[in-house]
Amino acid sequence: MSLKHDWASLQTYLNAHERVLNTFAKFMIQPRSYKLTQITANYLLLECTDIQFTTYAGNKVRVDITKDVEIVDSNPKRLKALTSGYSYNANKPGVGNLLRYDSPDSPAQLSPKSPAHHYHHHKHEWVDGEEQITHIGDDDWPHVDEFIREVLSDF
Amino acid sequence: MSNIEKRTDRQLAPEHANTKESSELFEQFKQLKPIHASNEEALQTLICDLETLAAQQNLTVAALLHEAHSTTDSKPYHIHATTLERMIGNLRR
Repeated sequence: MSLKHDWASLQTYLNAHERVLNTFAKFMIQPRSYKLTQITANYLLLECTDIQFTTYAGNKVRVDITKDVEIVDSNPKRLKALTSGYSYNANKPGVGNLLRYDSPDSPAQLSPKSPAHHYHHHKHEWVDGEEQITHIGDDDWPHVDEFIREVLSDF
Repeated sequence: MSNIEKRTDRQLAPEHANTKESSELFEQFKQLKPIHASNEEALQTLICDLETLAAQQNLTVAALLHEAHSTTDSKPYHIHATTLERMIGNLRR
């Protein structure tokens, strides 16, 4: 059975992320691009923060996307990539947070004091100021396009 | 590309679609060099970055991270703090 989130060539991975942002550019107040930072040979940070969207309902929502990308370079001509951590946040300026998806904490971050949801992929939702946290299956967390579509249609 | 491959490509989520063309993002990556030679070196820098960010907010690192995780109105420095926390955790893995 194929996984939703699996290793891909780095080129395919980056192409797809760029294409997704371009697809939703028409809903951005200012079109935005990802910023890449290569921390080490095997660790890339992909981020696009403070994206201002106008939702289908005409509301202004700020979106912040950060992703940790593990790179395998066993074949330097075909680098492979896998998301090893992420956070997708949606915030309504002047109101507060609406929605956030987070990856689990790494084992090094976890301690007996860690909240239970930090052990899992999870979703935070704020409804009338009340926070609800839902655990998500290991391979069920959304791709960026699914998250943006959820933000545009739900808010 | 065969019909089967074309059909599979359309069914896949954009992150996994089999795109052969190069993107500006991939071209940008090809120009990058790793900032740090080792995980340990990166770890020390990111810990300093997190301490600096906390100091800028007049908070301890623990207080900054608590605020970042519990706020109902995330500001850019909260996003930055949790990103640094996650990166530090990944490098300690």
